[in-house]
Amino acid sequence: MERDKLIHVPLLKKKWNIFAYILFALPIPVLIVLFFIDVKLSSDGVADLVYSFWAMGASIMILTEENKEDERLKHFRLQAFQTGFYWLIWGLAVLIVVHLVGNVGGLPISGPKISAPLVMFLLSFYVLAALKYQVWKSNKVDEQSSK
Amino acid sequence: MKNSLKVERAKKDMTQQDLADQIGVSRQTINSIEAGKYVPSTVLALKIARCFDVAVERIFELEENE
Repeated sequence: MERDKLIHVPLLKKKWNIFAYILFALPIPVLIVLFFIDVKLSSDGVADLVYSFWAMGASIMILTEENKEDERLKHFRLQAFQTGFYWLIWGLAVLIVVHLVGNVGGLPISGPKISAPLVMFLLSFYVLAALKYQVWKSNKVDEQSSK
Repeated sequence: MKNSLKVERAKKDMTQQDLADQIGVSRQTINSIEAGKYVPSTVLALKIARCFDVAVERIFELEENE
């Protein structure tokens, strides 16, 4: 199964990280340009635009290879997708509860509108956070044992 | 799972980097295995054993509660 091309996830070269960092910063100049060419965006539109760029940036970082890609990093990446999805379920559940309480309960609370860019952003951000956390923790063990 | 990787490495006077280069993984992976923070796959365990020319169970051993 491991060599099945259909389920194989190809990784990007390390230099793609630069493109990811550009995508993280890009919403600001895009919003400035939209303002000057008089394109009116609602607050939800602005949020979706920012979420979309950040989701793309985070997705690229998840799929970019580390210095030495070996089975430990592959294991970290697999675990990151599992943990990221698990966190997404909880994150969305909290948002749904906030919306329910705001709409049905009549309390003056509201969360961000649940949209595809928001879900993509949350998922990619959680997966990236889980991946970087594992790499950081592993490097910490490395530093401690080398002392 | 406990392992005697550090001992085997010391016997052959190998650094973590030497071993990592020989079996095609990062030095951090060797370090994580030695520290017991990462359990290698069967393939990697066999590669390590082959590198030291010993049986895999001489390096990797299940603990009593496993």
